[in-house]
Amino acid sequence: MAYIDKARASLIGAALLALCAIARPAHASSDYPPALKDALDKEFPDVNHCVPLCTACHKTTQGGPGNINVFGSTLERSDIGLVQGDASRVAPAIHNLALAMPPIDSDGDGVSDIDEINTGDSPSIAGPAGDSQFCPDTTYGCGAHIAARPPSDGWSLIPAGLVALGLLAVRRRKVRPELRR
Amino acid sequence: MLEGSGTRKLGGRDPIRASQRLLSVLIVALFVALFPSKAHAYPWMIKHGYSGCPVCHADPSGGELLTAYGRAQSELLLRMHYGGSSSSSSSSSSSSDSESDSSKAAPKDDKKSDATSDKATQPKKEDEDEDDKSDANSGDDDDDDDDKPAAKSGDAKPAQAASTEASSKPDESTDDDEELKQSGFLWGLINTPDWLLLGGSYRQLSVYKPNGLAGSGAVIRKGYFVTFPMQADVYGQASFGSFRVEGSLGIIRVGVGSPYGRAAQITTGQGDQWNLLSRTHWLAYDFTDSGFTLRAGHMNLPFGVRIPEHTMWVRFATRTDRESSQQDGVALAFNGDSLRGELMGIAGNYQVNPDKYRERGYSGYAEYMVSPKAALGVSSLLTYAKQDRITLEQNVTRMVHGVFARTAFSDQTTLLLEADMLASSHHELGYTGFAQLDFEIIQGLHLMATGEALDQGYDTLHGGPRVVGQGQPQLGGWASVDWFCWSHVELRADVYSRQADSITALGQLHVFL
Repeated sequence: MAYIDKARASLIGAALLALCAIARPAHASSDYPPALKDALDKEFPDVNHCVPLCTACHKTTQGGPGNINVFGSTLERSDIGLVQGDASRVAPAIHNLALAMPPIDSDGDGVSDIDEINTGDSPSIAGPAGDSQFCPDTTYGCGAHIAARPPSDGWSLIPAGLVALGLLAVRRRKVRPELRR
Repeated sequence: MLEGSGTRKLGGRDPIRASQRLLSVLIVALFVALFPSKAHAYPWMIKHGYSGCPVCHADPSGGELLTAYGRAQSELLLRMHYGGSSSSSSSSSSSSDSESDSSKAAPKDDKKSDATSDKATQPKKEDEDEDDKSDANSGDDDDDDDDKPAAKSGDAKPAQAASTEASSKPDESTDDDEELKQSGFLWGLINTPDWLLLGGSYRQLSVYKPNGLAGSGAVIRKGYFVTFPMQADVYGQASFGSFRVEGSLGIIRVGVGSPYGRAAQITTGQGDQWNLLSRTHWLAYDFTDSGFTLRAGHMNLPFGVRIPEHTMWVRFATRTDRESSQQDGVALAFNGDSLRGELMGIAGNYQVNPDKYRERGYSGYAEYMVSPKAALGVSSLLTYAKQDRITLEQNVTRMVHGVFARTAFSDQTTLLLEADMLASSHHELGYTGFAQLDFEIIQGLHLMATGEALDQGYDTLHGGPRVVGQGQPQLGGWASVDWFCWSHVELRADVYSRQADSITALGQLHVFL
């Protein structure tokens, strides 16, 4: 096989490394679930709501486009007003849903969407299968809890920076004397 | 474009016809690939004439923690070499596999005073003795060598030739010494004793969606860009005679409800804070003379082609990826000359609570080497859960059955194929499949093209219209560049386009310790 010029390769590598490192750190997640909780809390302040999973509006916890359940479709109706890709429209949509007359029953089980949500049932799965499914009891982990609150996003670059510094340090140490000459 | 043509070609709205046509196409492609005019081929390192995952990996089916021999192979065969003076590099350009192996084997069989070198020779001997270590699931790059596993047949001669060659070329031998030293844990800074293996992986992923998230929920719609540490794990294994204990520990931070990472948590933060996780931890007993390994603990599910791309539909939709789909159970693995496989009894993932969300059943695969560089395998999985933690449906039986193959057309070109049938309660029959062509343009620099298809089956519980991926075929395509630019360092860029999703670019820095 052929060889590639080392200096050029280093340059490309540094550029790609920079691409990985300079970007604003974040984690890929949807803004919809917390927006839905906030909207419900605002509309129904006397009811305790959880941050639901993506299954509130999607068919699976993976969410994503093309995976909307019947309740999600209801929210996207023109008279309700949710717009894809704009979580700021969740609150107006919930408000419109609460005011809708007659009350909307997306899954057709005889209980309105709003009533089901406020009792913790799924508005997209007819009861009894949908009972308690708006906020499922899934929990993860088997040991201690290590962080009370999220650190700032910038923390995620620390391990990347440490690795990069370590690589540079090791690389300098490994340069053979004859190459230095 | 993809949506229209793909839908028609795969049978339109009829999922059964679509499944049949896709399977037919994949099976034909599979046989064409398995019997090329030049019967050369394996994915990745197998193309160099190596097979047998257990020699390079602690996991008998490949992935993650590398043995000392695997580390040496990673240094010699995986990464790019510069300047043209490296014997291992020049070996890669050889047209003959045996010649290639000779050069690669040279450092292994040289009498090294260095501990790393010494350990690197051990698997070779073991291989010669057993001659029964056949490769594990292919493709598993990650530590990338799931395929590069130890030399199997025909290794002794190349090794002898290499020794002779190495002794007559002291300068090259010195280069190889340096490379082997660098292959050790933390670039050779720490020499571990023979009974101890240490490793780790750090992956920083950047995601760019020029057209936004296609309505998946984020406020940012155009030019969506994020970067985050996708993996930060360390792992190790201690051996005591025929017994081994392995474990991994890492950190992760994902959003509430994220399908990633959660199932591997060992700490109990349910929000978007940092959590500790352990993807694998198991005990093993090796039946040395028979090629069997018995394991118990938290393990990767033995199924299909063990690729590192955990979001590829064949891994994601079957829930057999190495990201966080591991389960607790007992597994028996076999690695023979031309047959290998593993069967695992799944007792559930005890890092998921409560018990009703735990899947129980089995998962397994068997792979047969139909030629020295081509393998054909079958996989099967069946689980039951009182409630599915992904769909929240109750009393869910999930089945996945499929075939896979890996083959190489030349020293530079390999092909991976997999086709699986998906059957699940409350869903019509579905399928998924992929084909990945890998072209190593120069050693350490891979160009890859991947096509994939998915129909998870129409959701009869939720109802609603049939959409791509659920009742209709969904197609996707990937173009990737994977550059093993330096010792223990990989840079990778992917661009993929999937129906019903916006085009996505991924940039990844992977450092394996």
